[in-house]
Amino acid sequence: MEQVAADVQQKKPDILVVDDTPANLQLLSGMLKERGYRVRPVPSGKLAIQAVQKEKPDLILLDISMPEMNGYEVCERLKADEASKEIPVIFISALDETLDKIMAFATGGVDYITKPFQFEEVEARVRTHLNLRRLQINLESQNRQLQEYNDRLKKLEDLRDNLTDMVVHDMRSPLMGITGNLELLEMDAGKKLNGDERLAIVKDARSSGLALVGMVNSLLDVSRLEQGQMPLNATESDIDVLIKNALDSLGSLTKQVSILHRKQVPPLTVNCDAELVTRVIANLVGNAVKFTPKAGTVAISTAEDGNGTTLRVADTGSGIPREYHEIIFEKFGQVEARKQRKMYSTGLGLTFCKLTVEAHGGTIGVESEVGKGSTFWFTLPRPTAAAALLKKGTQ
Amino acid sequence: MTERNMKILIVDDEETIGRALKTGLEMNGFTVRYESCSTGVIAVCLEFHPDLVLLDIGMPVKDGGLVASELRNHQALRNTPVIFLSSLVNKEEAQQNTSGDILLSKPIPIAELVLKIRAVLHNKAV
Repeated sequence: MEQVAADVQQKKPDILVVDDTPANLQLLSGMLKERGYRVRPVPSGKLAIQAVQKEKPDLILLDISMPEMNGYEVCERLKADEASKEIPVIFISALDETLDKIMAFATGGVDYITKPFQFEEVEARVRTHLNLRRLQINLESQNRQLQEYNDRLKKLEDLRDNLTDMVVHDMRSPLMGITGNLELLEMDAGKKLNGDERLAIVKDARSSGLALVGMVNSLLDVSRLEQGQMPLNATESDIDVLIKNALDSLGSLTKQVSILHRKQVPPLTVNCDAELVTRVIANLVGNAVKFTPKAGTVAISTAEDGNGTTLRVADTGSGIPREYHEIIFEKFGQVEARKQRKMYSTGLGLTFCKLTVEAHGGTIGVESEVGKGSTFWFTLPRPTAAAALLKKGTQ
Repeated sequence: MTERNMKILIVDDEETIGRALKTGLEMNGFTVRYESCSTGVIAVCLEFHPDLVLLDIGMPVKDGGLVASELRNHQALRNTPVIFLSSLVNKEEAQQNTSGDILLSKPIPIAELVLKIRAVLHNKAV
């Protein structure tokens, strides 16, 4: 359709002239050609249909009184065919009864010129209807484009709604941790609980509060990282110190399974935003602990090679099927995973990890087999490459 | 049976919630056992004989919906009432988890939860 629109604009407009009187045909065709139109003259209705099927003209000038197939029939046939129904048809006829004109419009004609005609008038009408047709084609194409945009926006809106649902859902759990524990203190009117018990309750309420803070931060950070608005504060850091800080931030969670962490001697340093990377490690270890049954182990290891520094978090959990390996890192993928059975869903934590690692010029991934546990890893590029990238990022 | 003897098993992977519920229900006179891991619930039930199981849905390794259907398919445990206490919010998920007696959503005041538990236990007794 867009192609047709372009043709109408750039090429000579193609006009099919249909008249069974050779003199009329010749006269009209000659004059139109002179005005720069491409003209195809045909002497009968049948040939007109064939000519249209062969190549669609931009406009048709159609006589009414013709033997075998008259103009009305030709027009009706063209209008009944999806491929030709949009071609404007101007009737040109010696019949000048109102009824003929009404009939002409009823069969789908756009205009009616009575013979004998003034050529200037014919040309004016031809030009007008070619313009109208061009506008119509443009509108159709714009409509289609708008429809496509609209569909895409609708889809994005659905995804966003689902994401909001997921985030809200995730927040209800720590909210219960806060309100439930506070309610205990309130219920304890008779002071049955001793000081240590009360302190444990306060600690639980606080840790739920911190979990909520973590979720809010992930949400805000994900949108900032996506927009490239997260400044990286890169420093030279000992990776074992980052791991220790990450484990500390997880608090009692790390006591649920045994965590193995062998330190590097001499220390292994990475050039990165220490606070963000610590949170990445905390996310990966926290997930590993959550998805590993009691008595399982989570092993953290580090290594350096030509590509940079790689940190691996291996658990003895239930593993993740292949089809989830990529989508668990995607913002909207989480929503999908949640719908399926939500076992591999971890909120926005992994999306935060991926965006953070990528902002450092690094890569992140998972190796996992169902029943054999998972190993999440990320590689940060060597200091020089990282420094260059970070410098570029801050410019 | 007095409420003192009523035994509740709580299964929730979030320990901060599980501990709060345990303390809260104990303050209300129930005998409570709390499990943070959903994998051994059947064995725990056979040993503890709870009068009611309070079950989280969204748990890693094995979710509450699966645990509930295991209970429903177990000869000795199929009549044990199950209350889902979940942070799931949408209808779709509620429809997926119909094997419990009722579905409550977090956060819920402990006092309200106690009323619901009493109602379910009362209905079972009648």
